[in-house]
Amino acid sequence: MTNDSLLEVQNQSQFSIIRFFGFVDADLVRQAKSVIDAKIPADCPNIIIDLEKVEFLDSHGIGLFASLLKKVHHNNGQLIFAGATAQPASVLDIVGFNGSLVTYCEDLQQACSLLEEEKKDH
Amino acid sequence: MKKHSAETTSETDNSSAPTFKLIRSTLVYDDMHVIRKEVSDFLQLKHISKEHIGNLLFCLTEILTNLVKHPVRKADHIEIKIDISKTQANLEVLDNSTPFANFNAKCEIALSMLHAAITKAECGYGLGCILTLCKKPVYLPMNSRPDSLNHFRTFQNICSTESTAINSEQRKKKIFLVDDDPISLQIHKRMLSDIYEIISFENAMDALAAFAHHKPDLIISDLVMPDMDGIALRKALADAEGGDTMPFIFLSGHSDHENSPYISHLGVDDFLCKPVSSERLHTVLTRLLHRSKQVRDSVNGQFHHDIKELLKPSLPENYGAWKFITRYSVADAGGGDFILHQQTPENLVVALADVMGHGRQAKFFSCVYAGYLHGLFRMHTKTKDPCFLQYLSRHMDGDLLLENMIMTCQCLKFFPEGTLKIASAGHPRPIHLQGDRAKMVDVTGPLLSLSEDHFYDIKSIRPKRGDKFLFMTDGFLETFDRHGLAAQKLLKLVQDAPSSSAPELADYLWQEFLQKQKKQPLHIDDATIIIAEYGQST
Repeated sequence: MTNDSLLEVQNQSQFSIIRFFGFVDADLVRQAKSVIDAKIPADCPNIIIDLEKVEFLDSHGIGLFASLLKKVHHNNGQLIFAGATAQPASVLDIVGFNGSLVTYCEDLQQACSLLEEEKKDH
Repeated sequence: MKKHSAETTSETDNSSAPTFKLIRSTLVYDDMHVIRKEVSDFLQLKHISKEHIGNLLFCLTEILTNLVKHPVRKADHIEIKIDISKTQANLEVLDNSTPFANFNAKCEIALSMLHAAITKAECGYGLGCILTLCKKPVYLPMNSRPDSLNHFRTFQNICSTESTAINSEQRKKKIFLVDDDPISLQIHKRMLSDIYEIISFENAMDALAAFAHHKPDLIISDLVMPDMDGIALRKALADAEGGDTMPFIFLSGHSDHENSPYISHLGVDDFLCKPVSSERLHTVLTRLLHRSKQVRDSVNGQFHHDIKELLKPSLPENYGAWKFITRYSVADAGGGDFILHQQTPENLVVALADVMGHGRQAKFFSCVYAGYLHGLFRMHTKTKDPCFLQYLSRHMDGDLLLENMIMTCQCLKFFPEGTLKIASAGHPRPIHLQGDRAKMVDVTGPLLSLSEDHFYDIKSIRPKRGDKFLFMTDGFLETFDRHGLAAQKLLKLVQDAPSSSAPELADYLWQEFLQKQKKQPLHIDDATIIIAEYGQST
């Protein structure tokens, strides 16, 4: 697991987890991009974004998530948001991150279980 | 945290209009957290709900980030003001950086492209979100302001849900009274304030600035005023959103202007001469407001009817041993659902599509896209390409309409002997109901514009007689849960449905959907379902 204080990145065999904390805004995004690019494998099919500890999400955070969505779709995988509530959930809804594009899970555990089950099915 | 030479004042009191004010001479990224916290603390003290605080903080963050990130000339005066009235939390940001150009034009693009932006860029969401989260944001560049500061403002309605739910018929109509003569202003205000909500202005510039914020139902303006006269006000309103069709009356002591051909061509609804009686004023206002409503209802009604007709799904009731039932509802605004089909003796090809979008414009564009896709669909069925999605994906490059169309789509191919083939581009998974057992069909694929020349998997199913399939658009699915659990909930609902006949299942699911939709008035989207049942040959 990598912890660069802004975020934590954890790579598993079939997916990666990015855990954000506090404020996902322009300031965080400009620093987080290089960390994510370095830590997440280019061919990673599935990414879980853990938003449980996120209080605030701005449009730059949405931009970052859009780039991750492109990445997983390119690899025929999926993007899962775990634990999104309140303001972050509301902003995700507005920009159209809906059930057709991404998967929502109540928490990280549910997201991991979902991917594990899908792995078994295949 | 970096320290800056900043003058910061924070004023709060217990009066009916508590205010917050913060002035800075510099702004960097590190300041954002501190400013957000100060604003958040203030709003919490005033018992503003978390949702409204979140929305205001979002707007504030976007505006301040813009000031840090983009301007050619950095601001050395940044002023944040918040005032709380009984019904509103108002946010204002004033600055002297390079002004934001063409705000109104950018607003229109931002809103219509809000969803589209997901597939295209890693930026460009801010303004669209501001327009969605906050009420009537207004931006006045420094060259239009006496204080030479750029001025952004927006607000949140903080009154209870019950009071905001008062519909436009029940609320008092809002009238702008513009007159440089304070006595005249008082007289007319007194005549009207029992029936109307009167907002008065002693100069036309202030009325114009407040127009987008308050959106009145009618404007009464004096003709001759210093700085900006009534004619200039009328002309300026013609360029403002909703201003050209706003009922407008001149109330002037200069009766010689009444028959001026110039004024007749300005788009003025009436010309009243001072002194005017209360009775006459009320008669004119009642007539104009009534007529304005009639025209508005007629235009909206016709538009909605036409769109609904254009997007109406069309599918044969039977094909071979297949029977089809569709249900749909068309929302007033947002993207649109549509169904395309092409029938030959060999197979029936169906495309169930959902074009994403926001606002009334998106509804119009859905029809444009539906027409365009219909043409491509017809062309595709003449080729040997096995999958329409594949065909679209291959022809994406250089096709501006396709590249900008954000659409989920499911392509279904029904064969008379029973085989069903499904391919999906970002569309909700269908449900397969076999006896009393329901399961999701594992068929997925990326949105078309996310990946050029993508190879879409085609799922082939051989159903048993009596098997049913539920195909749906997102507007239907998400009504059952907006936090990612909709598929599980719908699956259970299908499994527990009291009857297994296809028409009864369709009615049952549609009733459940309508009941849930009623409880979510802010999330109404187009919704479509197709139930396909494999049974006896007709």
